[in-house]
Amino acid sequence: MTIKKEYNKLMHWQRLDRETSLKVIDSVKSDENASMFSHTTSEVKLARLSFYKDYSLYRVTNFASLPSFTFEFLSDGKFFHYLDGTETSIHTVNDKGQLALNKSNVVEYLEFYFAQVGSDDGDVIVVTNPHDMPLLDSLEADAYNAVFENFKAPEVHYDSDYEMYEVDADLYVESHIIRTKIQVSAKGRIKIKAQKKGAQQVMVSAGAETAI
Amino acid sequence: MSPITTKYDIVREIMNTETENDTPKQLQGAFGNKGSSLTSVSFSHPYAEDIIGRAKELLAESEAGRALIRAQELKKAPIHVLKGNGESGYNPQSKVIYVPISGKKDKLDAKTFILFIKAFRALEQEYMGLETPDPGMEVMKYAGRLHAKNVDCIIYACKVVSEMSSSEVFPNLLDAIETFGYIKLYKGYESKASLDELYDIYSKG
Repeated sequence: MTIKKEYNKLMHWQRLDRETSLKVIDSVKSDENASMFSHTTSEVKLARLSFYKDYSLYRVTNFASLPSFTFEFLSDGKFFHYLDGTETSIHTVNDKGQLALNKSNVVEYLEFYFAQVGSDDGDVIVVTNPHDMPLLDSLEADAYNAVFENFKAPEVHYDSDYEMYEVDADLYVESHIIRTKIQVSAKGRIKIKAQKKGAQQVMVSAGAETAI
Repeated sequence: MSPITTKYDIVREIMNTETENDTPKQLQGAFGNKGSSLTSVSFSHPYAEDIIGRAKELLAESEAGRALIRAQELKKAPIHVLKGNGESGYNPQSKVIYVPISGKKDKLDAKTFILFIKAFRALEQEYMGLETPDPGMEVMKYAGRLHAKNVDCIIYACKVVSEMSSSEVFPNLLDAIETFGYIKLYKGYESKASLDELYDIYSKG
């Protein structure tokens, strides 16, 4: 299981028709990577993102291999920005004036951001529902119960002076749950303002993303 | 903000993304559809060579890993390390092994090493009668073949990790096995469960 897989389960994917799919595949294909995008064995899906005006999440899957290869892009149907695990493409689209954050979608933006970018040292997930916690089944009974006892749903505040949102949320980072205050600017830049230790839980699999 | 310790330092360090580098940039990685200015994006990871080298070095620590290297070298299958998230695999059409790793990473990690094992094994499968099924085949048959190949790749990853129990990276590999949700299969493999029993564990998730 990966954070991204869990996040993708929550998306409402719409399969594109054949003609549109071929156009997308041609757009993202070049001579260098032609073998990764086959007309005959690939499909394209799209998911709307509530925090973008004209951009959606496109997913191109090539079923010729096992497991199938999946590539995700932010696109308005014309320009495609490959999501390569860094924040570059997200920031690029944000800087085009496409981001439309409000109090009801800023947490969704954070979930998307962290699912795509993670951190240098591993996955990051905004815990909006403790039942969706990664590795929940691996926890000892005490830790399992503590996850639910300490859980607090994300709270969103808007600071009109600085035109930014402040989100108090539990983050799962490096096998710990940490209560954080996250600042999200109008351009979608994310900054952890403060962390509270109260909700911390030691979990498992801390070394999976450490360099070996 | 004053320095604090352990995880809190880490989370601040990794998430403090508001830096001078975040000023609006020229478009990067954008490319239009055919007919407009087409700027190709490279999917290749900038540290691919180092990452592949380290993966092969670690594979060589186990008998099962060395068998994978031999198969890859025998078939002269190129390895493409891609920037991105997702699963690894072998494309029988292009005869290329693909392994994704986040563009933020510059070194191999345990999760990516597991992806290497699975992709190498997928290559080996093509030459041992467990070919990638045609997506056009009957859906249940297709799904059955996919699962058979997938469980074989996972069991093989368990085998390599098990053989690396004396390696200094073994704890990280075990963490990665757990992160992927393969720990029950790993324990089954370690307790010498039969293939049927392992399939049973796999099917129960």
